[in-house]
Amino acid sequence: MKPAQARAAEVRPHLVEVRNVVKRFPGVIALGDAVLEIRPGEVHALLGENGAGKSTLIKLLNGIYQPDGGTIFVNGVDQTIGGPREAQALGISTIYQEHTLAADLSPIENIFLGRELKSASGLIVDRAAMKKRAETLWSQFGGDRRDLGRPVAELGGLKQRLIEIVKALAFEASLVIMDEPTAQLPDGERALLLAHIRAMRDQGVSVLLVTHRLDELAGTVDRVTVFRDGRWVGTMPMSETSVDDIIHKMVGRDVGSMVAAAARDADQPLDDGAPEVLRATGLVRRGVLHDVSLTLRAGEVLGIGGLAGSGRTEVARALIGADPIDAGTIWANGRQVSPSSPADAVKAGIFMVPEERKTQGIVAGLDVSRNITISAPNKVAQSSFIQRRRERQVAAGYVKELRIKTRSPAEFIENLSGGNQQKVLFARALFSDPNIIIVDEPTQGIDVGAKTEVYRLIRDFVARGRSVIVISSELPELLGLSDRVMIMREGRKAGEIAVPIGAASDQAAMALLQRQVMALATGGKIEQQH
Amino acid sequence: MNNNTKFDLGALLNIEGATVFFAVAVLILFSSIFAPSFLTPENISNVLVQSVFVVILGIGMTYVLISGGIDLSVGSAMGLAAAVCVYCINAGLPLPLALLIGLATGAAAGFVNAYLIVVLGFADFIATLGTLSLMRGIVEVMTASTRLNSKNPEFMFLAGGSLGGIPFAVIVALVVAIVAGVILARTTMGRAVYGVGLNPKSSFLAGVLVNRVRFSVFVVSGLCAGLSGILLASRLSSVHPAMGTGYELTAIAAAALGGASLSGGRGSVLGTALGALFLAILQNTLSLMSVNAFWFQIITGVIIVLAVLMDGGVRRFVAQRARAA
Repeated sequence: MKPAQARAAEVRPHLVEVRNVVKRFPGVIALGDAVLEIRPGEVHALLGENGAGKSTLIKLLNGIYQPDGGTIFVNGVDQTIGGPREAQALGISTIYQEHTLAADLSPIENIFLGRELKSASGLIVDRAAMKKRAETLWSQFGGDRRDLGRPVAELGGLKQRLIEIVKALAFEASLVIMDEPTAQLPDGERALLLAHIRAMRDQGVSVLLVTHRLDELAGTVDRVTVFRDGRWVGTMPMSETSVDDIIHKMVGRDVGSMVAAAARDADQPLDDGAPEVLRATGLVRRGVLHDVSLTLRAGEVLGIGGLAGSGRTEVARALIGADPIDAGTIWANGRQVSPSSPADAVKAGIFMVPEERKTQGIVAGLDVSRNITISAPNKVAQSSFIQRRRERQVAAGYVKELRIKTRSPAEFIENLSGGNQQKVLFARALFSDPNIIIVDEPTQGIDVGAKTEVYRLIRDFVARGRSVIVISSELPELLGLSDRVMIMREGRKAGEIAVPIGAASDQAAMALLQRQVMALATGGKIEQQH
Repeated sequence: MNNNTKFDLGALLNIEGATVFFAVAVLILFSSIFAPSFLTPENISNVLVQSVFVVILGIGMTYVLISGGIDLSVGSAMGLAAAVCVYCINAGLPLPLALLIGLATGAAAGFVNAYLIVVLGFADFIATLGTLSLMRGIVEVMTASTRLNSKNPEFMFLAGGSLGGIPFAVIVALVVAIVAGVILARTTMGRAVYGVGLNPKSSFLAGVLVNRVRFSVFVVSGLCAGLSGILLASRLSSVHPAMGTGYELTAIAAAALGGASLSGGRGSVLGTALGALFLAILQNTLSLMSVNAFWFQIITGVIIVLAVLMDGGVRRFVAQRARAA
């Protein structure tokens, strides 16, 4: 299962070569016999489900971990990498998934943080030199030099990502490792970031890209390496493989098309006479939402699309009373409601599984069972006294039903993988027994296997005559799950598209629907580019 | 995982308040060796009564700290509740009514803090710093011209008398600790306090009434301060202008010793009570050993830093074992 030695010798010497590296932690082998070869000037994707060993490998390349066996060659030389600074000295820079920029500092200050250029005397920070260097690099990314003087917090997500790249390049990196660089970006900005990554490659910088979004591989990535359960599975040129083949290697079983898995079965069509369970008319939140109306029927999945910042999430927050509204009415299950907090929405039968699982979803520090029951603790309590035994039983039931991988319901939730945390949040939603669940970016940062399970949960929920609102930046996911998609633009409803049954398995139909969504989301700008 | 029969240090240390329990045990051992009069019944009773004020104050503080807040005004609230209570007694009001008004004063102080913080959106540190100063001023005004003394025997019984050989104040503290401990550890309200402290955003979206929880903990803290102040006034049979000054820091220290986190989400009533007991024993022992009182401050400081360090070390140790298992 190793790349042929002969083939390795034919090509140019590798920039970085990881050979048979082993990394053990108490009780687990995080990496066994890992192999990775990165050529100069290529975009190389490192793929695998959560727990496949990708993060461990990155930390080894950064010197945060030391290998228990095997060798890491940089430019053909056996290297012991003692830490991130030594990695940088060897030309390896890493951009982590979590933003690491200091929000109140300017891009220039961020780029040179802790490594300020000094004047000849070595005592004074040479601002002019830093500014010049930053401007040169920033202009390569088509950036406006005025951006460099403002606090990073005032720049958008894409620009922040680009600043992190500039920060990596400012110190002559020959390999930039990027961990999920597009995770928080809307589609338009994602395409731009990928274009910048290709431009870096064309200038001779190698990029190791870690991503869960397989749709961004084609056209950007030269080669892919797949890991599964801490082991190397394969390395192949992107031109000789397909997304389906990659998924197959990642999960070790055939999942078929992800999107088709998410879609409504043709033999379970939406009942035309199904009653309306939610209606909102004229929702206004000054400066955020302008006259937004929507309806949702029993058994239906309504998608809300649009660019990040278009008001998608804000519609959901208004519906559950997380943000106050200035005007508008909401009817849920035939009754007018005016939720002043999510607690009211829970009582009205509406529950939201929010985006940004770590900061808005899980309560780290509480165990799995307490994370589940937090939405309706009275259901496991008798006159306000929580009955721990009943609580554990309830949690154990969900752990089994939703196949949540945890040692026990008493495990702290932060010790679970992202996909399993998301399943716990679904259990939390189900426990409050709503008939409407709103899911915001339900598969953000979770692996392929967990994604299909989340899709299955949504399908099962609506199959019981209940309803779901899905908010997603991933168009195939949005269109695959929804019966109907409403598109937001600048706080307004830009339009609505019905998704015909069976469209998810028809590539041409999906492509057309995606173009329609993007056209509505951007006001037609994308359409002109095509 | 197969060490059911073995002595499991990790599991034992993981019990809330275990670290401070060991600390108290070690200190008692130390005290009984180096201060021979420590173990006499009179001294033990004395130490227990001495600890009551910080125990009760610390319990309210624990609620606030777990919810992710801080209440700096409790020392002043103690003084104010005591002053109002004794004023009412001296004005001839029946004792139960005077006590009730004293408690209500504490609760009202908490209510003002809660209103400033939750409704008006002030930072808790600033809001309670403001009410600290405000209430201290009122106490000084109330006690400056007329001395507030009360030799009312029933009032003095509160912190001076005993029932069945146990000091009455200790019984009060025990009842408060049990009720507050059970609410925190076993009820939906207590669960919500932890949730709010650990992650207010997630808790809010999951349906926890975050503002109601944050409001309640400050009222609880004010109520505890009121009770503690009344007991202290009974003990001293008077209220002086500086009464309660600095107690807020001792209460925070007791909670921190007991494992409460200043960033919210961690802590327990038992831990705080043991933390307060520890500080009372330490002070008592040092005075029995005729150590200069200034040293108490220094030693307390060192021990708090050590305790927090140790607590972190213990938690890492437990977490490591959990991962390895």
